[in-house]
Amino acid sequence: MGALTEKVLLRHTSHDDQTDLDAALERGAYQVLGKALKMQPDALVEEVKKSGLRGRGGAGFPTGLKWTFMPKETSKPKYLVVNADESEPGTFKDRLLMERDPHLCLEGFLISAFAMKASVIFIYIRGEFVHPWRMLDEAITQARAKGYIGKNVLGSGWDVDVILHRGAGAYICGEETALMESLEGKRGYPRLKPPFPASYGVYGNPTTINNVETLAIVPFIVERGADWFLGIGKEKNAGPKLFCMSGHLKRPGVYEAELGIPLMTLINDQCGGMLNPARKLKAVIPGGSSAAVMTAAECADLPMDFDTLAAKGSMLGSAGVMVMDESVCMVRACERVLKFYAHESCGQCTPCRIGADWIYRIVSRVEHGGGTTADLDTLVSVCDGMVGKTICVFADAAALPAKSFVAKFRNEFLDHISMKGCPTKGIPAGAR
Amino acid sequence: MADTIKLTIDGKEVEVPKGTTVLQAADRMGLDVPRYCYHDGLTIAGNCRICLVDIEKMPKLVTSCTTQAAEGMVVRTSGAKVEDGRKAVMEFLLANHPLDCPICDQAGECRLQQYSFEHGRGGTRFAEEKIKGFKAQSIGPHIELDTERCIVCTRCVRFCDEVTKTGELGVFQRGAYSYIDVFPGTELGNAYSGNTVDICPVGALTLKEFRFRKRVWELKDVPSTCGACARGCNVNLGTADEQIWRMTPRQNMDVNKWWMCDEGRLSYQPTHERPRLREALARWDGPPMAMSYPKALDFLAGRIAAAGPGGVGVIASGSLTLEDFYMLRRFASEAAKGARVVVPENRRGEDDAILIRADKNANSAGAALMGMPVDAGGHAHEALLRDSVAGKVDVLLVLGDDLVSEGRVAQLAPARGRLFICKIGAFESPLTAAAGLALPAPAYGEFEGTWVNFQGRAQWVRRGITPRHAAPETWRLLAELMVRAGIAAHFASAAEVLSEAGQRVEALHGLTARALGTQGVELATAGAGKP
Amino acid sequence: MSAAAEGQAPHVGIRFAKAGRGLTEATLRRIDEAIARYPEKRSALLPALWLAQQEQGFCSLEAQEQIAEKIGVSPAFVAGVVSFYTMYHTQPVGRHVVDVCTTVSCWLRGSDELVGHLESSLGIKVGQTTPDGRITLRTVECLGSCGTAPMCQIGDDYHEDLTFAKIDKILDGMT
Repeated sequence: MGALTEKVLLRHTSHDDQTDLDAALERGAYQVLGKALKMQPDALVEEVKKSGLRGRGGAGFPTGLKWTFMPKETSKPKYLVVNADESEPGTFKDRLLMERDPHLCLEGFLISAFAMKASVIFIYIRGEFVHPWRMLDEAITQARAKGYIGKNVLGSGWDVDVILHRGAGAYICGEETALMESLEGKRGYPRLKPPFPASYGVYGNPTTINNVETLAIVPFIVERGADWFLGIGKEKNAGPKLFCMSGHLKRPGVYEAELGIPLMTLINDQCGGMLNPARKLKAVIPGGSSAAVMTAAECADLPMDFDTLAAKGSMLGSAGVMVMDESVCMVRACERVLKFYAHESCGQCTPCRIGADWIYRIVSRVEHGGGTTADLDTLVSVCDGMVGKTICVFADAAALPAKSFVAKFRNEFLDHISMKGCPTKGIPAGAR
Repeated sequence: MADTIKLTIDGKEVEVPKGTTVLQAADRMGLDVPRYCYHDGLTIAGNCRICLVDIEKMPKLVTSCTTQAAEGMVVRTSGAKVEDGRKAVMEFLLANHPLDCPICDQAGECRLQQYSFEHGRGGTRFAEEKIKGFKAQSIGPHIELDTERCIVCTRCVRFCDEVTKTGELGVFQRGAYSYIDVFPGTELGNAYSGNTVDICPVGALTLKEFRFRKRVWELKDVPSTCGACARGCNVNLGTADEQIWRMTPRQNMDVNKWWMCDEGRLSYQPTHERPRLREALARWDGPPMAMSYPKALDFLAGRIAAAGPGGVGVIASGSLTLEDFYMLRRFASEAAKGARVVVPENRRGEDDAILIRADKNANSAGAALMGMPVDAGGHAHEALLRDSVAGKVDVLLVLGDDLVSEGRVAQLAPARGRLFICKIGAFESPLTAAAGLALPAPAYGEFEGTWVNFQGRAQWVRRGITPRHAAPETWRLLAELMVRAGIAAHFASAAEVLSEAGQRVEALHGLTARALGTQGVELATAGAGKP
Repeated sequence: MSAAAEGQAPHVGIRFAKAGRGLTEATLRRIDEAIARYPEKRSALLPALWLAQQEQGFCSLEAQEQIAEKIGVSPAFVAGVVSFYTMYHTQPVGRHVVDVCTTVSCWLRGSDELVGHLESSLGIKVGQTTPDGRITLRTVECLGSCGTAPMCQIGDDYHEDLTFAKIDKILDGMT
């Protein structure tokens, strides 16, 4: 396994002159764009494909392969949509990149758009990210002035426009087809698939949607080659990755490491261990709240990569790692996770519209002392009723974590039921 | 053949055109896959999830309404996997649903009732407090909304967006708190609002005019044709106790597809609500006298005979049936020779892009086929009325409840005493009061016969109810007059009249009532469509 | 989202409000500019609503009607969009809206205690506005600042690594 020995995505994020294009240029910004524009777009796609880069938004789908879905021959305009809607609980890496190295992001967007012969880049940024939005807006203005955006970019013959678009508060708009609906000025309802975005996307035109981090790593792949990328991480799980560490940690934050790094290394080394050393680790949600929860025992030897976590019944997802110590009541934690899904369900299709709210209310009732053992069976059954029957996987994202809490911390649920209330006075470190 | 595909559903092979969905293919086979949000006349939404089926090689159940049929597909619409999926969806749908069945109009034609009976778990495990909604909200002149009953299938929203293109409805908020409503201060007031009630699979949208009036299982549906304009939308009359309680559209892809307009939907109301002419009334000086039919007809026949050639004028409503017009044609040529016949124009507004025709006669085309085209511009009508007042016409027969002529009563006043007016119609009116003889005719729903719509399509109008008073059809009265003039004219039914007309009038190409069926017959006629 | 308040049955229904006037010419011009930026008009709906909220403090019924006309959709369509997204206010709000994140990571670091502190020091409950119209207190879902929990958003700004003292100081500075 290849360890990461340098900062890649985070190499310039500690600077404080992000709106200074000259400073960024001095640090190498847009050099790779110049190189890429001299290459064949198909060759760029091949390189990214060869690198084995997997999407960093949550699904881990091979990026190069996704790019090949765009039609070769078409008279329709092709679009790249940047998914900057980062809303998965526990995730805060894209915000860091956009706020602290907007030019890197923009360079990644441009190279990728060129590779898929897109003529417009839509950046969909969540409404709450006002400062990152302003940073990107400024970066776009500067890039446009320099000729990196517009007609005949750097003499390549390629025309591209960038449209920066704000969301307004809806997690579901991070789902790529709901994002497109929102971009088109509608309620964020995921679309039926097929057709897939590459054949019918924004305004019905061929579209590829990629996460910010995914696109931000592309300049490095182009500059250093697919083999460099493959040398970091593991087989089929290559490259550097931003891990979002939060919860009961001494030093929560975004850390860059190779895919496959052991979870306990991230917790103990990068994050300095538990927030309160007197309280042991109890559970970790490893990949944003849509990932199944892992017990401390399961975390003891846990390589953080897509395939390992999937094999263990969870997922790397957005790499939003939420660390819980023994003060946490797992029923209450489950309730808090499900509250999120109850609030964020778009409501389009029956199982999720009703189910997301229903499972939240069952767990809430158990937490507050009104639950029975039959409720646990109902909960699992309702979750099964949601999974695999909906337009998008939001229902799965709510139901599978719920089932994991009940399966792995069943005793805590049973205690709540027999004691008719929450037996722990679980105190997450309070604000002072 | 490259344009069709073969697939297997529940063990039977079926061949369908490319582009057909699995649900549509199942429909063709007569299978009844449950559905809420899918409607043939609207875009696919795929949100209710009840139409789940099991397709070989696909790991999850899929919605049949969104899945294109593919060559060699093997589909199962029943079985444990499918039933489990449907049970789950039904339980979700019923979770917050209020127990309104005893007071809900939809009972008896409610898909929640039907599918929970056929596919449900038979109970619910939902133990939480149900999310409440707005009950009985008037959102339009004809529509009442109950958001608690709503399952957010969005059929109504899509109807207003796609069919009427008026967009009055929207889905507000999100998640379990999603609900459908109008924009504050606006109403669901388009001319087709009643269709949202038809397509609502539950009792969330109800029609004010039908609300709480009758249980649907007490209604007998009579397939008929609407007479409110020249479109002739195919309808069902919901009848009980010799009354029509509602009209709903009946599918006819050539005429009205799945829809009808609100005016047509309520066009049965006059039959029961407008004051009816209930007996033959004769009037000379003083109050009207009830008369028996035979006596009244004898008297009328006498006046017609006395009038001489050209002395009889007839104003015939463009909503009379083909049978009425055929008999009138025979009457005017054989009995009252030289009778002047005018079919008044009856236009209001414009043709819209959906169904409504400006021509409010139900049978302008039929009249034209019988050689009595509508008097466009009204000149002949004017002339006849002038001549009636001037004494050039002795007997004026007014057939049908023609509102145009009703407005001319004052114009005819100077001729009082000299001009003999006979009104044959269903309703009391100033003209009925001024006429020397008023004979009751059946109102909508009480007669049967044929109307030809603006497309030249002959459609059958079926009798659904019988009035308590005697109200013979106009063709029957005309036949009686002919008999009194010594002409053989014996017909037992409108169908018999149509049979003769079909033989004798070339433009009808041998049409019979039987041939009309429930979807009508397009008559290849030039000029049939002109108002 | 109208979740159940304490002791009350959960009920659907969002309240819209009038502003008593339409949007200014300047705002309407900016909406036109937004429309011109996109290949298709309707994409400008979210930006238009942001502009309306910027001017009037919330998305009033009048603004929704004006925007519906400009974008070429029905007012009901606009209302459906406004009520879908949590950042658009459908009623007037306080001069400062304090959105406290209460999702898992923030909860682990004391968001609930923070909310309790704010409720008692401001004298209002979540969802309410102080009588002087200064502050509206809301709880929201994950704001993407989990590493600096607990935190809140006030206007454009994130206020991170909060303590009771820190948030008190921040709010004291808000008129």
